[in-house]
Amino acid sequence: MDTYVITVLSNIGMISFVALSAYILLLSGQISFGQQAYFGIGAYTAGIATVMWQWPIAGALVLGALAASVAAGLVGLATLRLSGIYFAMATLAFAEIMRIAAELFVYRREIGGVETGPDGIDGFRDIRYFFANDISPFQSCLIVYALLAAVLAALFIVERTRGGRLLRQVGEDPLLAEVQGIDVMRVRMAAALSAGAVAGLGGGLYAHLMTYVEPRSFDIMLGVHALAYGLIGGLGTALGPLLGVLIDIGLLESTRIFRGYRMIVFGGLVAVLLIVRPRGLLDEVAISRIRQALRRRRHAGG
Amino acid sequence: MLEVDGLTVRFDGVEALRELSITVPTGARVGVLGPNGSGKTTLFNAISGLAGIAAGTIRLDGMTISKLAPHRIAAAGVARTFQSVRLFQRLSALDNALPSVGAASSHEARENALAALDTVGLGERRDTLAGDLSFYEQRQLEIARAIAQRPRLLLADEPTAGLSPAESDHVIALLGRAFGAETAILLIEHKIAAVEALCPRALLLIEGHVAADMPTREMMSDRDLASVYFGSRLTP
Amino acid sequence: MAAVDLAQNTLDGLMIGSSYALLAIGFTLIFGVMRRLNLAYGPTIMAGVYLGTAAFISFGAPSLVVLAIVIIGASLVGLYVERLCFRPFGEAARTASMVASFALWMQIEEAAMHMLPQHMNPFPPLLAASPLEIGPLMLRADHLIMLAATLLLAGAVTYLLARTKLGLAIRAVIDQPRAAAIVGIHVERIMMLTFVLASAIGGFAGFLIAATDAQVTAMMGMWATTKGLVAMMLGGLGSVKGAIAGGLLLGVLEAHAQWFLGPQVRDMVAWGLLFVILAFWPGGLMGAKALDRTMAVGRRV
Repeated sequence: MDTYVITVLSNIGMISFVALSAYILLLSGQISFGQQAYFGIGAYTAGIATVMWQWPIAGALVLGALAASVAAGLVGLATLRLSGIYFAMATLAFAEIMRIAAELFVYRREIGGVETGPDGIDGFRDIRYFFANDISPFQSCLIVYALLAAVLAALFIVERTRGGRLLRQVGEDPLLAEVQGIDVMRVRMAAALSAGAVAGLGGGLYAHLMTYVEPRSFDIMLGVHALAYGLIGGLGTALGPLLGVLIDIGLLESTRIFRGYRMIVFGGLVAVLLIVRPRGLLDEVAISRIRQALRRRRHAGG
Repeated sequence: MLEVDGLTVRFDGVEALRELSITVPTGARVGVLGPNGSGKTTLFNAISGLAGIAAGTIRLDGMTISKLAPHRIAAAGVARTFQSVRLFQRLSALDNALPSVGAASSHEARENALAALDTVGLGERRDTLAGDLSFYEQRQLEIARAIAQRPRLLLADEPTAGLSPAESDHVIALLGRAFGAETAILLIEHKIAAVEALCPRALLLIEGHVAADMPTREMMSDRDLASVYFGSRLTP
Repeated sequence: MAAVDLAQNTLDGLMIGSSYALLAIGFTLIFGVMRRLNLAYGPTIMAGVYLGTAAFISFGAPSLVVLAIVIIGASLVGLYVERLCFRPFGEAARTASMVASFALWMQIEEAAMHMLPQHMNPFPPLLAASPLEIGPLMLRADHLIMLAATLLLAGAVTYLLARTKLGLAIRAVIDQPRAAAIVGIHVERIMMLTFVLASAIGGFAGFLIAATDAQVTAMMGMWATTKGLVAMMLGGLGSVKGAIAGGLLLGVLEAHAQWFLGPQVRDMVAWGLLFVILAFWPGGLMGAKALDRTMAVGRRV
């Protein structure tokens, strides 16, 4: 396959993790401008694990996701009480603090005769695990999609069970959820922890596929794009955010028709789409209609 | 079963409830009457944990619930409906009816929800989004939700508001037959006929305290009380 | 020596903080009437400044003409943002407005870069005079103008809100939008006027900021949005006084942090302060009336 296509596909896959992370929080009714922080934490942690401590990739990715999840939990303790723009601003503040912290973070060591490790504003280069282990770009792309499929499967299972209902109930009307006996704070915390882990996993993959990560890789632009993907694609299903990523990266960035005007097109598209469909293309109503139609067809077919 | 003792609630320095005390035995049906602003909904909010309580205690089956978080009060057995319909509009009728309390397993919760939907007559509509239901159906769904919670106490805040007389009668009859002797009901209503049909006993709230607590029929035949409630425009 | 540093930092901080205060006033006006966040506020200002810069570069327009272009430009772009991100949505769709305004931010930024492709562009400076010396302290004359302009403008906005018919209508919409509509105030028009007014104030602030720097980049959009937001949040949302206090405080704090800890830590301090205030003290520095009201509405059953 064409290297360019593989790169684009890998990008779509990796960004999808952040989009899903923002989506989980959107379902719980919280707008986070800061999921990129957990992407960054996952990227740095996983990179350090393979490069500095010579961990295998699987362990490194798990550690990155865990570290991101723990960080999300700690931030959650301080911020989950907040609602609306207060939560959005607090998460943005945290993400910017983490980005600047990465600019100041230097952890250099000599590994195999070469000094390596995170180097402040220059970022963390030569994360060469895939290269050193003869994993081709195509294979690494497959790894990205296998993990993405696993995350999606987990989300689908949650959506079909009690967890998904609780998440949506808390997201739509926290007060009503609370009087019906739902511990809103616990549901929000669970959402924050899993959203952090998903973003962290994406970050770990990113560091290894790109072979580097720098503070700029997880600035506010990544966070707000991740948020926009769910809102464009739709909040009715976990496929919504993926559709959003596909529209932006697959259609606008990668085809060269809109070169130089991508943001003008994308920005206008998002604004108009939000007027027409405030909860995205695949919103709850659309999903419910599709489900009912499928059910009817199944009954009709016997 | 429900014991409210010396309950005081303040908003911006104004006392919405003033040392209010009531006792409701298991399975009782009690109407809550009073002019607008007399504190009826505030009483419901205080019981379900949504209003900050300045003084007093609320006990349910002997357990003090006045310091608990709303979700723990619900778990203790308090269900409620709202004056303006409050549902998860983007969730199906079944998802709205599925209780988070009062069932030992998710299987039992589902059984309870399906049975409750059948009871109110929404069994066929279980997969429809709550937002797509008619207003009357939404009112019924709120009651189904309360039924599925198997509460000890139901706080019904004007469950007939916005309904036609025939629909109102149906809803009141539904409340009467869907809840057994283990569930007490407090009913806020402006329609006197509805209170008379369901509640043998009625409270009259005026400016945040209980002005009268007596059999509904006696309250209706008491000219002075009736005039307080109806104002000077109407005479019984 | 240390005392002089402290004094000089504080002075510098007040000067730069006065520009933050201007931005925060604009944010506060919009937040007050809309109850929603306009993330495109900074980019709106930047677009106005870019239009002025284009006129300066192409025709050598004099400062006053540039100022007029910046203010009118920012107002028009503000109108566009209001039309596309705020008017179509009810107050309930806060998320939609916020995300839509971010989308337009992207749009405006790219359009600006098509207008002036250079990364850095010259802007007519306010004054070329050498700094004033007050004892051991240095003070730039254009900074002094900025501070004076901030106070003047804050006074004018306060007067407008307190004493004029438009101000009365704006306050009515802020306090009780529904009641305002009932007594015959055209709420949508007041919202639009407030939006344009805030954008014009932002344009004025943008002109002063670009003029003291004598240059401008497209990054100004993001800079203005973040600084204005943080200052507004520090001030507690919803009062002009709070916006000024928040802006000045942010400026002073940053100046000290930069001097003692370097530019990166400076930005971290601002965000850190915002985080702590939101997490542990969500009313901000000045009264939390707007906050309380928003929460009360949310809690009403």
